[in-house]
Amino acid sequence: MKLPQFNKIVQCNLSLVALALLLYPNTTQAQEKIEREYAIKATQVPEPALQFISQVFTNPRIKWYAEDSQRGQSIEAKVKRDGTIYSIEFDKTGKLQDIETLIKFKSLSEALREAIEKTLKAEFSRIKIDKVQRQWSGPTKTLQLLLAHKEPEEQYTTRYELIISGTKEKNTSDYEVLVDDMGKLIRTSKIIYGDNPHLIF
Amino acid sequence: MKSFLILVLLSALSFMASAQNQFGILPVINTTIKLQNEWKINTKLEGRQLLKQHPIPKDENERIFERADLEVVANKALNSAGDLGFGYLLRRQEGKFVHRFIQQYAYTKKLYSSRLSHRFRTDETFEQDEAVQLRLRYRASWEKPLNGLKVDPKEYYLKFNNEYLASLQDSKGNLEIRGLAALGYTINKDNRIETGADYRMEKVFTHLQHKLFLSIGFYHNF
Repeated sequence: MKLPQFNKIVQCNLSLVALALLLYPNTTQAQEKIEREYAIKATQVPEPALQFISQVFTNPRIKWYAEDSQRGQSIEAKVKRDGTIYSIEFDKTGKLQDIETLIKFKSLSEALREAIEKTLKAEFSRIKIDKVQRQWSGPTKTLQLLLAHKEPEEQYTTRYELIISGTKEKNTSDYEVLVDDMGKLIRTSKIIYGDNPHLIF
Repeated sequence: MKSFLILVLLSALSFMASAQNQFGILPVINTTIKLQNEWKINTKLEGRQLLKQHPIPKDENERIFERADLEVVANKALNSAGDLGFGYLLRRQEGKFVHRFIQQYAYTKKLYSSRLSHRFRTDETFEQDEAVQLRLRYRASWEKPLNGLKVDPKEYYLKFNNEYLASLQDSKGNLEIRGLAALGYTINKDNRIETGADYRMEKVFTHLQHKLFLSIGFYHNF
């Protein structure tokens, strides 16, 4: 290989690095969500949580997880029933916190879809919704009725947790967005994934 | 069931070891320095120690330290999923230096309980008295935690790689296929270790060679 040819290649690579620097100049500052989730055995689950699940689900395949987050520690049961995945969250004493159900964005009413889209457009210049979870919280008996597909008399709260790919100031990242049942924004958290050098280098 | 799977895995490794042309160890030290604006510098120091060769090369020891690589890649995270990188590799082999320039784009997708990365790479290799070698590479890497839905500190995981490398040198094309199955452990958020079997099928279109390495990797974030 001749020296001029070698120098040309070096110059070409340096130019590409400079171009990349110009194209992507900044990052977004946001509230960051960091969690640790790990599988646990049923014997490690608080008794009230085990009782709630056994009363509602007859499915023997229940996966239990403990989750450490910015909000503290919680216990989560993941159950699949009739093709729907339920995540039932308890606090560390086994008290029911909320029930999350994986749903499709299209399954929401048109009015709610439009309200959510309007909320997201106010926060992000470009969005792609990857995942939607409906979140129920309220008295334990009320949530039991909801899981049994019955309409309870007592009040309960419905929220929606969306995992989106959102662009802010030309920077695209994944975010967890929490909205109420009217589509109004409650919280936005930037999702931080684990490092990936062992996957990409 | 577990015993059966282990038996199948060991049988497969034994078969591969008896059929391939080279067997050795690939120790890797991989470090990453995080910079501002989602930039990071990844440095990889890799050696290749051959332990068995078939046939044994004339006038050469079967057990040789074949090569040492130093690779530096400047990487920019474009978003949560995409990474763009440019790098340089310096190789010392048979008393000569080999130079390689690297350009890559990687896309990492979080799945329900695993992660999948697609890496597209091009590189240009320069070596004295040899024509320039151009390569186009694609690698899929899948990481599966053995506990929970994602890999956290003090947890084990499995990693599988499959890579295809198309090369062009002196107007002649060739193909290399690689496969890696490794067990990893995250010591803490900045350190992880991996070990596994790295199988390579080289020069598929001309003189087919089988190579099997015991890969041992250490990853550190500064």
